[in-house]
Parts: sequence; C-alpha cells; structure tokens
Amino acid sequence: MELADLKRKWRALQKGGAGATPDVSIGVASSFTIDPLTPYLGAFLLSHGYARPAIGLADYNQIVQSCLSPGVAFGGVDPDVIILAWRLEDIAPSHTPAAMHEASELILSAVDALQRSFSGTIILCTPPRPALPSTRLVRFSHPEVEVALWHEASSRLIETFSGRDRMYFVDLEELRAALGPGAQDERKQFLYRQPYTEDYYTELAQLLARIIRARKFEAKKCLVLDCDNTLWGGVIGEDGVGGIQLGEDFPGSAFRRFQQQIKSLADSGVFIALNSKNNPEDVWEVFDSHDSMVLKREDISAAQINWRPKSENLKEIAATLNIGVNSLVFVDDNPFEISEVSTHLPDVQCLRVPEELSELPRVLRENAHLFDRLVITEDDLQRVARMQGEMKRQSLSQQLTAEEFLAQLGLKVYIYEPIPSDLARVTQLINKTNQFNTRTNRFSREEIDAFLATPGNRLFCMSVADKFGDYGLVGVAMLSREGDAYEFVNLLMSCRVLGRGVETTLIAHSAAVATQDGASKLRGVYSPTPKNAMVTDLYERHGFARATASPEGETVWEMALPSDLSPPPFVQLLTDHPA
Amino acid sequence: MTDKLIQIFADELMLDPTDLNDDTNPDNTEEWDSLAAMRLVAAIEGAFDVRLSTAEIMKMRSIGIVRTVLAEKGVTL
Repeated sequence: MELADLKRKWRALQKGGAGATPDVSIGVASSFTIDPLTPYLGAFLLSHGYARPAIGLADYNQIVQSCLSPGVAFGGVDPDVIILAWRLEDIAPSHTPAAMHEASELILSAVDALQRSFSGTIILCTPPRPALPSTRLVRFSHPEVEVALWHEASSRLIETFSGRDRMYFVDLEELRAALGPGAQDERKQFLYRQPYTEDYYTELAQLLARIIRARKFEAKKCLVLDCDNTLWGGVIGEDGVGGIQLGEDFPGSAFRRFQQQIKSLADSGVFIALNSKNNPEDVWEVFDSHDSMVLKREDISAAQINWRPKSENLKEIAATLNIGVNSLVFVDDNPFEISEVSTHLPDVQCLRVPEELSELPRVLRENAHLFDRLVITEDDLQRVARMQGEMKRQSLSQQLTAEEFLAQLGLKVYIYEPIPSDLARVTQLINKTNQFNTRTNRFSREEIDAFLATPGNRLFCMSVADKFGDYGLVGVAMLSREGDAYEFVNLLMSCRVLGRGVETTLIAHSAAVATQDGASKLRGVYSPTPKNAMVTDLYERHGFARATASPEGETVWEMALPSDLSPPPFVQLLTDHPA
Repeated sequence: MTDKLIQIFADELMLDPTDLNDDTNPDNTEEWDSLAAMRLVAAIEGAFDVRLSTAEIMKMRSIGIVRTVLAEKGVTL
C-alpha cells in the first residue's frame, strides 16, 4: 500500500475514535512541535502489520514531566514505547551556556528515572546540532560555545544510556544531515514554530517504526538469491561469463548496486545463500572470474544450484544453516518460481525483481527492515565467517570417524566469568535458546545483574573455538548455592556446538568449581518444554542420579561431589577470558 | 461536489467531504487549527506540485480562497 493510502487508513482509524484496545501504544514527548510526525508514524506502523496503533503526544516541551509521570503524560495513551526528542536550544530558551548545561543535565536525570521505572521500550533521540544565528561573526580559533555544549550533551547521553536494556537511539543530527536542505522549511519555522519538512517527518517516522516493529518481529536471518536475471542480467548457461550484464553500464549497473546492498547485509551478519537452476560450475565461474562481481564465493553461506524445485532447495538451505524456513527471504525474477515457493512454503518471504530494473535497489532498501535486529552483537557479526568454517568442517567430517574428527578439530573451550561486554550476548542466549536448555529460565538484563550481585551465585560463560574458526560465546551456566549444594539455575548452549563434548566440559568445570567452593552436591533440574527434548537425559548421561520427579514432568538430578567427571580428551579447557 | 481540493481538506481535517464547501474556513471549522493548516500546506503543495509563499499561506483562510490562490498559480482544478 502507498504511503498516502496508509495515512488515510490511519486517519480513518483515528476518526473511528476509542474502541478496541490498541495493539501497540506509543507516547511521544518533544521539545518542539512534533504533531506532524503522528500520521506518518501511524501509517508506517500499519504497514508493519499493526492493526490498531495508538499514538499519544505529551504537551509541548514537557519532556521532564513526561519522564517522571509516564502514566498520565500522553493524553490517555498508556504507552508500550516512549519516544523522546529534544533540541538543546528549546530546553534552555535563554541560550546561555550555563542554562543549556543545566537543562541538559536535568533531562539526563529525568530519562534515567524513566528508564528505571518504565517497563516498556524507550527510544531516545539524540539532539540535532543547534542552529546558530548565521550573521554572527564566525570564530575560527575555537568552536562556538553552543556547539561545544551540544557535543558534550550528546556524548554524555550516549555514554550514560548506551547498552541499557530496552533503550534505543535515533540520531536527529544524522537524519537532518542526510536530508540536507530538504530537512528544514523556513516558512514553517516562522509561521508555526515548527522547523521540519514533511520529508523529515517521513524519514523520522520510518526509523521509529522500524525500531518499534523490531521489538516484536523476529529478524529474518538469510537472504536467498536466484542468480540469472537477479544477481546479473542474462542467463549464464547461454550467454557465458563474457555475455552477462553486470558492471558500470545500465542495466549491469543496477545489478551491481543490488550486489553492493547484499554485501552490506552480509557484513552486518545476514546469511547470503544461492538458489538457482543452473550448472554449479557456471555460477561459480562468475563468482570467481567476473571482474564486476561484488559478491564473492566467501560471502555465500549456503548454495543449492541444481534443477530441483526451489522450495525444496530452500528447505535444504534452512537445514544447512540450522535456521527455520521462516527466517528466509527469497528473491527471484521469475513469477513462476515465486509462486511455487509461496505455495509450498508460505512462511518464506518472497521478493520479486521488478521489470523496471532501475527499481531493483529499491526492493532491498524498502525491505531492509525485515533483517532489523535491535541489538547487533559481536556474535552476529562473526556469524558469516563462522558458517564458511562450518562448510569446511562438514567436508572434513565426511572423511573421518567421529573420534578422529573431534581430535582433529583442536577444540578449545573457554569457561570464564563474564565481563560487562559479554552480558548482551549472555542475555540473548538465555532468552533465545530453546533446544539445548535444561530449564528455559528467561532472565532480563536487570535480572542477570541482580543475579550476579547476589553472594553465592555464579555465572559461567562458555566460548568455543576450533581450527576452523571461532564460535563465540555459545553457552551459559548459572549456579546458585543452597546449603551444601550448588544448583544449576540455568544450563544452556547454542546448538551450533552440539556433538563435540563441550557440554560435558561445562558441567565438569561447574562440578570442579563447586567442589572447590566446598559444596558436596551438584543439582540439576530438567523442565520439559515442547522444544528441549534433546536434554531430557543430559544429567543422566553425566552421572547424575534422579532425586525427584514432579507430575508436570520436571525431574531433579543430583551428583555427589567431588566427582570424577572430566572434559573429553579431545577438548582443551581454558579458564581465562578468550578476549 | 467532491473535487481533488475538497478531498485534500477532507483527508487532512478528517471530515466528510460532503460537509465541506468553498465557504469552509478556520472560524466555522474546529478541526482547521494551526496544526491542520500546516498539514494542509504540505498536502496541497504535494498534490498540485506548487510552492506557496508565506503571504499566500497566510491569506488562505477559506477553501474558496485556496482555490483562487491555486488558480492564480496556474493550477487547473
């Protein structure tokens, strides 16, 4: 649906008045007139699949008050998400450095209070650089005091709040700079004290809606591409490497731009895969020898180049990457292929190469939000590199017995207590691991902090590396002490390191530490979920005896300490931090 | 009569087009406040591909006047 239609739909919804409960509620507090944002934000939320978004605006320039009483500030809207936007020059109308400094400190503490009391999401806009009167004589010897204050206020803000839970940023200066002269409208500033253009509000609303959407929808993980007439123009099997269209001239330039977009998705941790009806040698020859290819063989994490139905290939790709088919986005130029895939795999999001090829780059630009993740961890960034290691690992495993294979891997298992920069990943693992997870106890970042602060509790991170690459932080054990026993509050691991004995290493090390701390028992609990059957017998396999079982299927297991459980011979255990 | 201009006002003011005519103005239409005026300028400029001066914006105090201003700028409605 076009933006104008969405805006109309949004307005119709407003006119309908109060009725059904909203499916997302947004509160906006701003130091400048931000009302024009509302229809755009409403429209983009509708386009992201919300049916009844509600948006409430706080009164003009009531940021501090809104932060302190979020329940009443937004005109009857009880927000799930609060958006805060201000400009330095608005909050201190006298424009004296002392007033600006004081006002920005006041906002900082108000936001801090809000973040502690409010359980929803906060989107904090960092302020734009203040406009200076253009007639003032420019001083070249040192920066203008307002600009210096702005730098200070922006960096204080980011220092204070970056990495906090449920808190995300939009950079208003970057947005203004990106739009250039198209961001501001002098007429509106003079007539309505409202400086920005509709384009500016459109862009801002789009960014905000993407953040709001990403809270709820799981990010797509893999972009699967057809080759002929998708990555390049023409048919490789007929036209040959010299005959396909790819390069500086249209339409080859449109394909090249498209590849650059794909490459940048790959660099932020999205898997790239191929699904093409071709001879594999022909396709790889383009990757290896065409000068204008932006994508290289090493950017591809999985490939199915054959004559089978594309839906079958997509299933294969999802299995190879160990992700669900609903994490795939598929691009093809052929409507037949798209309909074949949509029919058999309705969960795969399909995008079609447009007939007007100058529109090709727009397709990905407009769908980039499908891959949005609110927190991009170090682990996400290394994922692609790791999958290339995985391809090599699998080819080695076909030639050796299991034991020989493991011995050849040179497995290194690091088990260590977390440093602060590990905690985003620890939180992510605790909250998304479903299969290798004994209790599926979810913890927010705050709850983890509280757990760590409690005496007697221990949290171990596990990172794994082998000669093909680094898997990153893949396991977490949380232990709490009760009398003479240590109990696993959580014991979980990413499935990508299954079958290598690393879980044995984690349990053995936990047992050793518990023994060292003077405990005489190590206890584990298995709480069944629809997804964690693979760990039903985990404790039994490691020599724990069953202590109790509840009717819900929860079982409690105990092992006397000291125990003779030790890491497998092919694992090297290291207890220092891998960084 | 639902012409393009009336439709724009109906959309931006969230009113039924049949309630609007060339005499509709900020004094007899509660919804036509300064924020609506701002949206109307943007919508009119977008729909007719014109740029309005501040003098023209300030003069536009009824749908009829808007029609006249647009006609002066060579817009056929």
